[in-house]
Amino acid sequence: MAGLRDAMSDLAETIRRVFQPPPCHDAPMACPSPLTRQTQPLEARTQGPFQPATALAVPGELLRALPPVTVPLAWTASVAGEPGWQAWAAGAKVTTLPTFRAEKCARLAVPPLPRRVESRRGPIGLPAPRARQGMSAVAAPGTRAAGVDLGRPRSFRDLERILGLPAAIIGEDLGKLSKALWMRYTLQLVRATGENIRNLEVLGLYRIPAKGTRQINHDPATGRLLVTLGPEAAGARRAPFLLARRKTDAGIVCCFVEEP
Amino acid sequence: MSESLKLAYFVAMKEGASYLGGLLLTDTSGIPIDFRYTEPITPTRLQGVLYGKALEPHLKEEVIQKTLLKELKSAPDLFILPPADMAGGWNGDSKCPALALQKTQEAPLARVGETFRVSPRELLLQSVEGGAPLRVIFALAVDPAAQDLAVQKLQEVAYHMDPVEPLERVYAALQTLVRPD
Repeated sequence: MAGLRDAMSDLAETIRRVFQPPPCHDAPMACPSPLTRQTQPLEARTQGPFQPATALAVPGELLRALPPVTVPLAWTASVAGEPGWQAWAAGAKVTTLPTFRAEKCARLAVPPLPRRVESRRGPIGLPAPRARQGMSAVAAPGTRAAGVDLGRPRSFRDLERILGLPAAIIGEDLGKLSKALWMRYTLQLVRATGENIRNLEVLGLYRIPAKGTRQINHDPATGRLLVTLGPEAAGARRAPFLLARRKTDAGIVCCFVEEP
Repeated sequence: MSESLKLAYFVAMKEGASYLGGLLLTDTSGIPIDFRYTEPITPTRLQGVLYGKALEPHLKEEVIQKTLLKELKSAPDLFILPPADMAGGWNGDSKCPALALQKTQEAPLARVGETFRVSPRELLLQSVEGGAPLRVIFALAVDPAAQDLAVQKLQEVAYHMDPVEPLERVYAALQTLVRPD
């Protein structure tokens, strides 16, 4: 009986161990915290004045035997063990292999091997290219008309602008004037200027517009009269204009020698 | 002096990429009777490529000149151009003798009114007493008879005015148009 009780006890213990939950161990999940240390602040210390290095001969002093150094050694007793065996025994898992049993099965039909292999009888070559039956007609491009014609510009009339530019008028040939006409002209010049005819040197006789004359300049190099006109000069009658210079002070005098 | 003579001075100039022209009508004293000018024409780049070297002559002869002449009520007696335009071969249809005048450094001819023919289209004209003769260059379309008639008119005009000077006025007027300051 005692043997049976021990066997049952062993069986019960075996069953308890088999069905007990696997052991669970806590894993260290916390992140290691960095160690904090204090750093000694830097400090400046004064040093003595620089001493130049000097060579010193020390014969044999460095090779002499040094006195033994005593190292303090202390032995500390501690209990050491290996708990792995206990953990292995407690965490072991009993595996029960399945027993063989009869199952449904099907018969596979193995295909027979071919009795002969087909051989290729045709010539071996590149595939013939396909011939295109016809070309599709190229579509006619659209035409656009470009502006080639330069057109006709607008024109403007601005007689006043051109009248404001000095026009060069050539003096008439005094030698071709009749004496009577010349005397009449000089008399008119004396009357208009009040000068003595002996004090005047005639520079030229010009036909300029009787009105609308804005500015008159005489070019002594060419003998021309540069006349700047205003819009009133357009269509005005041309009148003889006598230009003379006083001999005494070289002053210029002038007048129309016919009534405008 | 014939008071009915009218001289037309035509200048077409290029300013930047644009072309414009002016036409001054004067009497025989050089006094302006009429002045007309065109607005600037700017050919497109495509037109410049398509016309090529013919662009500038076409613009001057066909576009600008005809536009300005069309505005005149009566045809002038002489149509005077800058010598550079005439040297390029002027083909404009002006319905009056087209010519260019140029001052020379040649020795004076014997008397006023005398001419010296240099080529079928070119002659020297002694316009004033003692001065250098004028070079007169006619357009291709001016036949010899028309040239002689034009020289007579030119000689008549040169007695009262400098027939070259008004061209400078047209240039100056066009400059004031494109550069007002």
